[in-house]
Amino acid sequence: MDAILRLRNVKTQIADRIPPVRAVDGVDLEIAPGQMLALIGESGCGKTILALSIGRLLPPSARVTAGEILFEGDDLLELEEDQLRRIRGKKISYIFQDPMSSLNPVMSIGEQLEEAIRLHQPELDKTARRRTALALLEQVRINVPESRLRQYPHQLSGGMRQRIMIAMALAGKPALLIADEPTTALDVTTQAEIMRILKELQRTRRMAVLLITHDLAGVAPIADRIAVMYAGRIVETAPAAQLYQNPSHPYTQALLGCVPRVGGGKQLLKPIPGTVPDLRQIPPGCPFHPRCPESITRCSQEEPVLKPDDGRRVSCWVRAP
Amino acid sequence: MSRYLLFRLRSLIPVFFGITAISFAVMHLAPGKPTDSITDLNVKVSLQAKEQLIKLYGLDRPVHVQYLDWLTRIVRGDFGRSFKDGRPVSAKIAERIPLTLLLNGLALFFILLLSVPLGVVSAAREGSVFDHLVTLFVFIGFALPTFWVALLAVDFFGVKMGWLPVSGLFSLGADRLPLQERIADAARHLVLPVGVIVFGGLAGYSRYVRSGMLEVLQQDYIRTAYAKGLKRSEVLYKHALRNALLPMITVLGLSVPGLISGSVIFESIFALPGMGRLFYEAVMGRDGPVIMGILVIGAGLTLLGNLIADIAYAYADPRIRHGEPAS
Repeated sequence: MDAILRLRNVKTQIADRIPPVRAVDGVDLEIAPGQMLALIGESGCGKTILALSIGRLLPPSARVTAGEILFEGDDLLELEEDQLRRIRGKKISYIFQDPMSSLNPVMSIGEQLEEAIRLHQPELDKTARRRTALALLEQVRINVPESRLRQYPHQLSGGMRQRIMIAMALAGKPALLIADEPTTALDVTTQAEIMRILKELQRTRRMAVLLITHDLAGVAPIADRIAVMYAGRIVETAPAAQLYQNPSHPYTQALLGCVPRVGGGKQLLKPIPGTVPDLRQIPPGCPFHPRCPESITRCSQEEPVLKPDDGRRVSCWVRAP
Repeated sequence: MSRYLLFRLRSLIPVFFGITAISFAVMHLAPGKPTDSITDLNVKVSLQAKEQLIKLYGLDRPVHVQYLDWLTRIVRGDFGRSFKDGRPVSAKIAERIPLTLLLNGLALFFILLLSVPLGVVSAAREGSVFDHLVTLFVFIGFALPTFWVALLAVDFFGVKMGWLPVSGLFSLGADRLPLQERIADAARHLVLPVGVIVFGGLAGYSRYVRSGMLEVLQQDYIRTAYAKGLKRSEVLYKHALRNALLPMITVLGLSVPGLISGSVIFESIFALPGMGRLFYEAVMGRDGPVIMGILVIGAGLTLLGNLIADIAYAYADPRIRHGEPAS
């Protein structure tokens, strides 16, 4: 496999609480170059902590305690801070959930965007930097880019700010873009627009995208693969269409049961019984078994692992024993 | 921006009149008349002469008439004449104020020069040995009364060690020295007073910077800055500090009254001929016009400080400059 990013048994804990929060608890994940992988899960399942673990951007209280994060053959967890800094923004870029607070309020858009360009394309002079900045803004479909450069974050709408974030993330021509719930804070029409831009950039730039979201229906049409996360673990990964049309893991099925389908006629939405487990006290065995309609005795005793099952990988004693 | 400025300027006017009214009232509530020191202590002054003097200064008129009369004069820049030597108050203040401004300007400069990096580093290494040492130092600085520190410094550096001069601005006979050496002489005289003011001020300011930085470092845009691939130092000093210093501007603007009242103490201890000592002498000698003049100048400087802080804040924070609510 020639994956650009490969996570092996990654565990991240938040240690400022007792017992520590096992936010990421043994994740295996792969992204091929140029592929869009959507990571789906409910709030509080550890998606964001997983995303931040990759670039080691975790808050001081959180720490990766085990595993490997291989990017282009290097284990990011082993790199010196200085080496990692050269990868951040250059090979791996990020966009975050809340574009309102993710841009520096006292620096103009131009200042922030050109800072990223200067960092990753130091050979460019002032005019070339300006030209590159304008080109980036056009790529994320920002109108009147010249005047935007002089504006400040508070003068722009949420969707506009998120597009600025994307433009900034593109400055280093990254091979991997990690987008952590990029549309959650935006209104619905803007969400679709941002998703379209991300898909287009992934295609034209042959850039791998790790798209983190809880909106399964929203990403199903644009992602290549989907990974479903529950209680700090991956419970199922599959090609997007297959997972969406024919989910295997009971949790994935339950997730899809909560989403109304367009053109599906009159539907009964089925909420998942119970609540998301507290990541300090993950149930033994399969973490989903207390909420699972199909659980068997084994589910509460032994922890299932991801096993191949017809083109996908599922961790479930019932589906892939 | 200009509308904002106009609004700020307009709001200063009532504040200024309020200050003058209170200053005037306080002077009048003080027991005795300003002429008492000339008349009551002198047996040769007759009752008639005393009444003439009261009439001369207009002290027999109703208070509000006196106030309005005084107000119209100070608005024209006429602060009256000193009871002590009959010289115009404005001239007396004018010759004393440069030293006070120099003293406080130097102190503020060094306070900022030291407290900003101190605050940034202790915030960046929150909980480290360095942070704890700074905290300890800061609380010592907070807890010690500065006039007492000043006296200790005089005793140690001036008397015991004999390293530095402890009073006045120039040594005896310094006026015969060439300019360069005179400046060096004055600088040596300023080391202790400036040092003591800096020590007293460092505590508060480095604390403001530290807490400002700690708050800013939690913000999402700091994570964005790291994700961009910026160095830690660039994130701290470029992205974080610019935001953390915003509240400092307001604090600086509000520090003017403290500096002026501090000058009264330090200039008296170090025998520096500045406005603070003039004020002290005027209070001791019941020199009403000088007291009133300095109070008004002090109020004016305070308002000016606030105005400059407001303008600087608007300049530094685009959210205010563009007249939109901060989000």
